[in-house]
Amino acid sequence: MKILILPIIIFIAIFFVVLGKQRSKKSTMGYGSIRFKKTVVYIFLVILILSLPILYLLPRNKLIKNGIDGNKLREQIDKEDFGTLYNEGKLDTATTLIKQKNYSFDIKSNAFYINQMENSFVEIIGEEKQEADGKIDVEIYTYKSSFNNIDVTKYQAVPIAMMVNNTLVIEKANDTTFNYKQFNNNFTTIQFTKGDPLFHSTFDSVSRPGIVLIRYPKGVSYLKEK
Amino acid sequence: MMSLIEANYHEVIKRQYIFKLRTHFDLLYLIIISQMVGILLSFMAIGSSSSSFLSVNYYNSSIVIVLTLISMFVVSLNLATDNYRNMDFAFVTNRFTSNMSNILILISLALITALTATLSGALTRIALYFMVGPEKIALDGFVLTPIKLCMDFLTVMLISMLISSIGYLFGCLAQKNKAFILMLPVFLVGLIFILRTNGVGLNFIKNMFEFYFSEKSIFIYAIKLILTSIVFFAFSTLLTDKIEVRK
Repeated sequence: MKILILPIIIFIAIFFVVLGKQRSKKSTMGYGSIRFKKTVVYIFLVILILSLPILYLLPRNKLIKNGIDGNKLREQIDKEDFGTLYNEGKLDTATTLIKQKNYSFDIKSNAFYINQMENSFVEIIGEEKQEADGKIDVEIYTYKSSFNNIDVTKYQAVPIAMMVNNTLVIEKANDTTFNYKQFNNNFTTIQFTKGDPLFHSTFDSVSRPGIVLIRYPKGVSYLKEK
Repeated sequence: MMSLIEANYHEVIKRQYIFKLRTHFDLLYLIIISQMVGILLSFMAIGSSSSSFLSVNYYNSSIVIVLTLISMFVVSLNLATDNYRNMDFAFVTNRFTSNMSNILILISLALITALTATLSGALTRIALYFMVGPEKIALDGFVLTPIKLCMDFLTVMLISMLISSIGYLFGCLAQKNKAFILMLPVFLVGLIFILRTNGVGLNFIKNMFEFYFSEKSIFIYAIKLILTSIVFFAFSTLLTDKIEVRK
């Protein structure tokens, strides 16, 4: 679309300036067709005046709501630290910690490796189970995240866990790139809005590494691969 | 032959004003064209920020306002030139009534263009709503509240008035002495040099900008801009008051 804008602008500038300058018998001062100019100006005014009620009539339910306060979310995440909740057995009570996925793998040997890819953006916590059931259970958690006070948790990719030979590989799936548009204040009113930056060179982002909880059978040990 | 009817200042200014509203339509046309270009340009984001999986593009009507202000400057400069001034002599006139009607025209243009520049924000929002889809637009900032609209209108109108008073002053200076036609580009280039170097000049400009554009009270801000515009308009009127009827 951006590629089209410049030719459209050039076309409009040439079209209106040339037609506006055309000499006409009905022109004022013998310079420029006043009828043409008036038509253009009136059409433009009508479009602009109509645009306001149309804007108010547009359904807003699909617009992206920014119902999250980044600072409050940060505080809440600090309170709901995974380690603390896990030790107290209160993982279910967390409001900012969401279980994204479960995996279960069979293991026949008494040791396995864990290979955490660099881009996985997770912390790994291991726990030995009470029973020797021959299964490695993997639970993946993520913290709620926000961007400019918009809840963007659902756009975070869920890390992938897979068993390759005797190695549990944790890697990050490709993120869904979320691109959205935001309107901000004009430079003429920026001084009257409380600290709203003009170009948003900084943004408020809340994002924490996810948690991968690995429960392995009793008597099995694990080693982290380099 | 001299007329026995005593000329009334208000009546003469009113007639000239109405006459100029009709004949100077091309000035409004110029501003409207620049705003149309501005609206198209405002479909391009003015800024963006991103993280690993997110990117946001920011939009507003600032480019429409900037183009409006530039065209207001050009229009006010033009209004003070001989082409437009000589039209006044179709009426019973003097320099004072001519200047007053010109100032009223500029204020009217500032009002109309502030209204169109403000409403252009609504047009941009509607266009992007349908072009990219509502699911990709943040609700915050999308809604133009009546207060926001009024504030936009007022600030654009005041700045337009100030810019037009400066442009009109430059035009009148050029009327007084043609050397000032050369002075304007020199002044603008000089201004750029001052802004690129640190020193007393830069501090002066910074302080001047802060005086106007750091004001948090819209009431005091309005008074500052209105008074400054009045000073510039008054100075322009005084400058051209003694210029002979036709050069």
